[in-house]
Amino acid sequence: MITQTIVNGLLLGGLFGIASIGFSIVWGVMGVINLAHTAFITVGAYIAFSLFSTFGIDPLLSIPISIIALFILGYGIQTLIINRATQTNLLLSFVVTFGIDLIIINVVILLFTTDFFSVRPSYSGASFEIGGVVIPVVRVIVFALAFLLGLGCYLLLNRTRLGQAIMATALDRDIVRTMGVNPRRIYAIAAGLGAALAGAAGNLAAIIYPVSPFIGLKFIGAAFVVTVLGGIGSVEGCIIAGLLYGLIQALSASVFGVETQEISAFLIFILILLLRPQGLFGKRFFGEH
Amino acid sequence: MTLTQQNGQGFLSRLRSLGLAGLALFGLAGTAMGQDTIKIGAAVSLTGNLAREGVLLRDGYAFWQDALNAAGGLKVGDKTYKVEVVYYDDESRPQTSAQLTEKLISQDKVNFIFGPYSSGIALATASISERYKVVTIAPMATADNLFARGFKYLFTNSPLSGMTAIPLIDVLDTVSPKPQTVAIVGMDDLFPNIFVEALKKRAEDKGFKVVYVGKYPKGAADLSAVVTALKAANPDVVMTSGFVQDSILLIRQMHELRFEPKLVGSAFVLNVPEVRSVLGPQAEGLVGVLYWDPSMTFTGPLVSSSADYAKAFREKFGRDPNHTSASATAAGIVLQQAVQNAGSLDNEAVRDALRNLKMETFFGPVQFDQRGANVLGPSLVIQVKNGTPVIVYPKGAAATADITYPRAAAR
Repeated sequence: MITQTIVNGLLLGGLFGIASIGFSIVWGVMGVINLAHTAFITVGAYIAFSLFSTFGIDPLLSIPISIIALFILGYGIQTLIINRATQTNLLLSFVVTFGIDLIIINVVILLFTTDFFSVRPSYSGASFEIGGVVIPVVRVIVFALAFLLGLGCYLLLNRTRLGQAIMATALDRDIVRTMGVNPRRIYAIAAGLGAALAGAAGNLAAIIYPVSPFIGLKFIGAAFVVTVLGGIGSVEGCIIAGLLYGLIQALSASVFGVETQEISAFLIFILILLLRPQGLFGKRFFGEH
Repeated sequence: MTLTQQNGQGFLSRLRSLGLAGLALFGLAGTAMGQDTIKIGAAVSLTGNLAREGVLLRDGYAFWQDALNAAGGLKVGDKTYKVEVVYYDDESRPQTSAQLTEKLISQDKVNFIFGPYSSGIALATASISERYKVVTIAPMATADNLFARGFKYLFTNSPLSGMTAIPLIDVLDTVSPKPQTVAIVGMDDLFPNIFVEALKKRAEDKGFKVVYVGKYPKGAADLSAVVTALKAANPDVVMTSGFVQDSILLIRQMHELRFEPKLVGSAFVLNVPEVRSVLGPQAEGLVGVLYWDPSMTFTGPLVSSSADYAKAFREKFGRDPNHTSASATAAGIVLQQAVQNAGSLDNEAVRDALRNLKMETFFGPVQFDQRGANVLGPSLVIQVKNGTPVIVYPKGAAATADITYPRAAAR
C-alpha cells in the first residue's frame, strides 16, 4: 500500500509540475502573478475536448495544437493588455489578470455552457500492474509528457539564445536594452510560453478530469505552492516541487487521513519555506522586481 | 470611495422603492378586481448561483396555481377562491430572501409562503415567516438541522436529507448473497456530511459492517488516496456522498486503480444527465437516489398521476419536469388540502390541519411530524442499466426492475 501511495503521488505530481511551470516563468520573468493561468488551463482542456468530440483527434495529438493556440493567446494578451497595464504599476497586473480570467471563463461558459464533458480515448481507464502496484496508463502518459515538456522548456531557457534573453530580461530589464533585447517582446514571448504550457497541462488534464469551465481551478493552489516551493522562475524546481507536492499530499492522506491531505501538505510547505525562503531551487534575485 | 458607495445605495434604494410602489399598485389592482384570491408569496432564486433550481421551483408553483384555477379554484367553507402566487427574486441570497419574505407578508399581505431553493436560504425565510406566524411550505429545504430548530410554521413535503440515505442501505437487504461490508466516503461539506452520517447509522442498524468512513476536502484535485484506502478496506459495497465533479473523479479513479466493489452508490449525482455520459461505461450498475420520477405510481388530488404530471408539464413548459418542479407542485397540493381541511384561511388553523394531515399526492404520501418534516416522504433507488437509470427500490412505489448485484465490472 505504501508503494501504491508513492506511485499515486508521483504520477499526480507530474501534472502539478507541468501545470505550474508557465505560472512560475511568468512570475519569475515579469514579476506578474498571472491569475488567468488557470483559465489558460481550462482553454487547453476545451481544445482537447473540441478536437476529440468533433474530429475524433486523440487528446495526445492535440497537445501541439493547444500549445500553439495558447501561445498566440498568451502573446496577444500580453502585448495588447498586460504590457500596457503594468506600465504604471506592476500590482495592476493582479486586477488585470483577474479580469482576463473572468472574461475567458465566461466566454467558455457561453460557448460550452456549464455542462460536464469527457475526453475518453480508448486507453482511458486502462491500467497495468507491477508487483501489486496498479498503474493507470493515462497517468503514466501524462507524467511522461509532463516530464518531456518540462525538459524541453528547461533546454529552451538554458541552452538557446532566446532563453538567455528571457533569463537576462528577468534579471534586469533595463540593462538588456543596451544589448539589443526588447524587453516588451521578451515579456510577450514569456507570457506566450507560460500560456502554451498551461494549454498543454489543460490538454492533459482533460484526459483525467471531467471537462468543465472550472477544470483549471483545481490547479490554482498547486500552482502557487509548486512555484514558490520550487523557486520562482525555476523550471527544474517546478518539476521537482510538483513531484514533492504530489508525494506529500499522497503520504499525508495515507498517514493522517484523507481529509487532512491538503492541510498537511500546506504545513510541510510552510516548514520548508521557513528553512529555505527562496524555495528549493530559487535564486534570490528571481521574481524581485 | 465611501461617497460613491452611499450614492450607489441611495440610487438602489430609490430604485427599489419605485419598484415597490409599482408592485403595491399592481397588488391593489389585483385585490380590486378579484376579491376572492388567496395569495401565496414565493421568494425564489431567479438570478444568482441557484437560478436554475429556483426557476424549476417557480415553474412547479406556477403549474399548481394554473391547474387549481383551471379546476375552479379552492373551496374554503362556502367560498371559492382563486389562488395567486406572488414571486420575488431572492438573488440566491438568504438576506434578500428574509427582506422579501417580510415584504410579502407585511406589504403584499400574502396568506401563506412557499419556500425558496436550498435549506440555507429557507432558514432565513422561515425565521421571518415564523415571526409573523405564517405557514411556510418549503419543498426544497430538507437539511435535518433546519427542522431541529423548533419552527412551528415550517413544513416540507420532501423527505429530509437523512431519510433519503435510508433506502440506499435498505436495498442492500434485498440482494443475495447479502453484502457483508460497507465503506462510506463523502466530501467534507454540509449536505454530504449529513448524508454520510445517515448512511453509516442505517448501515450499522441493519447489521452491515462499516469498514471505512472517509471524508475528502472540497475541491480535491486527486482522490487516489481515497481509492487506495478504500481498496485496503476491501468492502463489498461503497457508498459515496458528494457533488458532481468529485463523484465523477472518484468513480473514475476507482476504475483506474482497479478497485471494483460489488456495488457503488452515489447520493443524488446520477440525476444530472451528463454524469452518465461523462462516465460512459463506468456509469453502468451505479446506484443513486431520487425523490420523484414520472414512473411513480402514487395518486392524489389535482394531479392524478406522475405520468399525467410529466405530460402536462411538458405541454406547458416545453421540457420535462424534474423532482424540484414536482415537489413544488406537490407543496401546493398539500397546502390546498390543509386549507380545505381547516375550512379557514387562518394560519393557526391551517398549521394544525397540516399537522393532522395524512394524504397521498402524485409525489408520494404525506404525513408531518412535530418538526414539520414529512415522515412518509419517499425516495427511490435508481440503478444505471444499459446507460439508463431505472428504479430498483422500493417495490410498489413505481415501475421497478430488479437490482443487478454484483454489478458487472466496467470494462
